[in-house]
Amino acid sequence: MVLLQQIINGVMLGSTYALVAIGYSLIFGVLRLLHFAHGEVFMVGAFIALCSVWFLNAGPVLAVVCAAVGCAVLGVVIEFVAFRPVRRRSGGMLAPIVSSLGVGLLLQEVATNIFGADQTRFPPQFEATVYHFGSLFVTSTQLFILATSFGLMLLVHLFISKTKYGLAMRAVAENVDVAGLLGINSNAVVVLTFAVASALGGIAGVLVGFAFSAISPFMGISMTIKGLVVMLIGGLGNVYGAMIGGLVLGIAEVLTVGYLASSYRDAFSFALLILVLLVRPQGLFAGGLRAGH
Amino acid sequence: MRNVLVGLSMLAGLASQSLMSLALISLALISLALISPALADVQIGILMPKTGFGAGFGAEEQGSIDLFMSKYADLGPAGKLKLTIYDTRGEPAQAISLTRKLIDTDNVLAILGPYFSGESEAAFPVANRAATPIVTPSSAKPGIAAANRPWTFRNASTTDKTDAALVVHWLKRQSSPVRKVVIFYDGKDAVSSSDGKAVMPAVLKANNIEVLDSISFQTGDVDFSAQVTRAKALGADGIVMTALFTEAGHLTRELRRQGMQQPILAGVELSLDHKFIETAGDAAAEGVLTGADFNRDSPRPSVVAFIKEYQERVGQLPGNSSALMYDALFLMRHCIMTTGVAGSSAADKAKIRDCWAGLKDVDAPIAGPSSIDENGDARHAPNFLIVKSGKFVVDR
Amino acid sequence: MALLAVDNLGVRYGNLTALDGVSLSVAPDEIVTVVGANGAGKSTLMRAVLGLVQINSGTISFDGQDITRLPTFKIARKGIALVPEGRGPLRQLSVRENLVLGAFSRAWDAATKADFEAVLDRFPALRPRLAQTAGTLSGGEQQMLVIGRALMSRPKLMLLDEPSLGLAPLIVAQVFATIEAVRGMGVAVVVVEQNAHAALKLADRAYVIENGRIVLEGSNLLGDKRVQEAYLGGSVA
Ligand SMILES: Nc1ncnc2c1ncn2[C@@H]1O[C@H](COP(=O)(O)OP(=O)(O)OP(=O)(O)O)[C@@H](O)[C@H]1O
Ligand SMILES: [Mg+2]
Repeated sequence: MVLLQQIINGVMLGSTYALVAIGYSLIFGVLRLLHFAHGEVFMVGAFIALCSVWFLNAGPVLAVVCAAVGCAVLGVVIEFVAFRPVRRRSGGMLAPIVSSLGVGLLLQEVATNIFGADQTRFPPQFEATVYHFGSLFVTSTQLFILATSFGLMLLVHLFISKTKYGLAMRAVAENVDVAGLLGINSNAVVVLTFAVASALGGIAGVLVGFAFSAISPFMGISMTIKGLVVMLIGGLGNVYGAMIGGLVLGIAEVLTVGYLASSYRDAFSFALLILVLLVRPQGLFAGGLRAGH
Repeated sequence: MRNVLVGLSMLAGLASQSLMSLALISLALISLALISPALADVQIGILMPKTGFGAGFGAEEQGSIDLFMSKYADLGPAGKLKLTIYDTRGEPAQAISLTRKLIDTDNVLAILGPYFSGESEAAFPVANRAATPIVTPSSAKPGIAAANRPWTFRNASTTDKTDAALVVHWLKRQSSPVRKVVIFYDGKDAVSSSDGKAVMPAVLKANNIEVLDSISFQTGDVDFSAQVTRAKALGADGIVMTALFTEAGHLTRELRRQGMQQPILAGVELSLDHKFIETAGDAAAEGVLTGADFNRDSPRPSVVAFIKEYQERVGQLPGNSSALMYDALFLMRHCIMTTGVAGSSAADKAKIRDCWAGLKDVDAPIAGPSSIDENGDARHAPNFLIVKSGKFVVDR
Repeated sequence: MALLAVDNLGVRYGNLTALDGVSLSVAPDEIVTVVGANGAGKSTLMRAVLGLVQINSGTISFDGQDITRLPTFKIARKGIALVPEGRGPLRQLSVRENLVLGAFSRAWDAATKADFEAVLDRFPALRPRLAQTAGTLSGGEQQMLVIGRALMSRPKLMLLDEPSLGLAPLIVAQVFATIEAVRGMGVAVVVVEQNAHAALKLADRAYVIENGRIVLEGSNLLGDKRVQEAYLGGSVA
């Protein structure tokens, strides 16, 4: 029973990791670049949701929508400001890493100035109803998180496997030149990718905000790292790998804390990463922005 | 200065009644040069977390600094008190390098700070080697000042002194007896970790309480579901947590959410911060007992005045960290005034060190009679505070 | 009027001059071939037309419009399809997805669906493999797929860069037959080939390129002595 409850705890945590990692993977898949401000997009999503609750009196669904839209715009701005200029100059891997790290720090700084360095909370009406089933329990917030994140994963799957622009995204991911020959505007696809990835990251931020009622300018830092770990576990740039990898990491973390000690949590995550990379260097799922199989 | 001098002498020379005016001007310049050392300020360095996870504590300290300087910056014949404030971000590595910078570059007389025990553990040896007095207003992990004699001090009671009284008080006030507890501790925060792993277990054992499990988490965690699920199965009848206010708040919230309604004792690491209650929620925090140096409800006139002035100046109520910093500044100024130091020479530093080491029943505005023991630590009787309807109130 | 007109084109890779004053034209309905040795600049010419390499001098116009500095996707949307050297199917996508993307700039309407069926009828080997990822196809099947994908955009001009490279003789014949058929659909074709004999036989007109320059142009180069010596092993097969 304790184990089952711990696995439920892990799925909750892991589903938010998965959302962040999907965005990471989309961007890596299309651009072969690491977006080191993605964790900060996640953070901004949480704050946008908070503002929508404060100023628009938004409920959970509207808050999620506001965060998604706001972060999509933010993601596109980041693409234009931090990625496109250095990509044009083809400064190798390093330039986009440095410029996205810079954007991340800037966003932290701005958020600190507006909201302060301390954690901020959602108002008490977002407190969850708790449902007990024997010794097991789930909360209404957790059910909302599960529905939202798994619903979004399904949408992402349908988008990249069934829609024209999803196909275009995978075409650009595999070969920019060939995509151009097919009449695909790869710059527009990159913008779309940033929008989708950032919207997902922002929604993850809201969900974490709902779940733990702890929003802070620094909440994105560990997410950036965890997203990276999940992406490596799942397979670079593979969206399905990110989904599975996120859940695996969440459950692994919770079990480490539940049965060993919290100090082993990060060590254990990295051990898991190394193990996966030793057995399957390409990650659980082979690289590439794939649909299924 | 030199150019002005040359220019003026030339002018004077041109004016021809040369000698007289030249002498006058020189005299004026010389006297100016003689006066200036007396106008020098007394430099004190301050280390505190202005950004990062401890920025909230830093803000509380800053409020007290602003208030204190608006009232007591003047040192009389010694000139003015001048503060050089650096942001450690709560990081021990920063604390070390900024301590060096304050001593080597800024040539300060003494240092107030850093905030956290982990930082103090790192910075104290540096100041001790450099023979510069350093006083943390807040760190409470036992033994840090004792390990770095004779230049290091603190103006906070260590957990080994406060826990015993706190635990006894907590046990006494329970209607149904507490015999088995689970300890939750922050494994990353130095004072919470030492308190939760060593100090609290020893005190509990001395009171015949069984510790069923010690469960750790890390500063910055927000998800406590795994820890609480683990504790839930153990059948404890009391919960002890040693944690900073944010983590303690999340933990308390999760405990209540998963249905653990046992009484909670929170260590002094909570620092009496109201944000603990906000984070946990009023209902979850209700009845949590903690200890602190600062009692906001104290009837002492100097405390009442401090709270009023602080609120007027900062626009917020002072916290435990505000109170500790205010007293630390007060005692530092007390030492500067009574020893009459006016610079940062080795002799000046030694006088400040001796003053701190010998502090006995000096009437600090908030804590009242303050003394430093042979380990360099302060002795304050802790106040017991309990959460009632969303507020900390004194529990007698 | 020429459908494609390349005028005095120059392309450099750093210090290396890959194309130097190249002029070429293609009329609607025409099959034109460009022959030349390895490294002569044939692929560079194809890629320059599609905007995949930076052009240093000269102009390219298509259908009366200047396309010299347009981005690749805009050139493609004007009706030029390139079957690149080494084929270029999207290997991680399925056969169906490749074909669907061929019609990216068209609506998926009845006409497009009819084209989809027509491609599958033309290349029946693809039909049972629609769900398979393109990377798992044989070389010949990949070539069929990429030509089919190019047809899905209903181009006015199709450029094929060494379509017979690495294929078995039987398949090569099939590829050349397909090129004829494509022209029959009213599409102009430029074929770059090292298999000069087959290409010259197929083409209405031919260009010979050497070291980045056009050295010969004509409509019956198969009989030309210099071409025979340089590219056809000295004798007419
Ligand atoms: N990206 C590049 N960078 C530098 N040089 C290049 C590049 N691409 C081609 N070249 C050079 O330009 C010249 C022309 O190359 P191109 O590929 O156009 O020749 P080709 O006629 O297609 O040869 P092949 O028959 O072998 O395919 C060659 O010398 C080649 O080495
Ligand atoms: Mg070539």
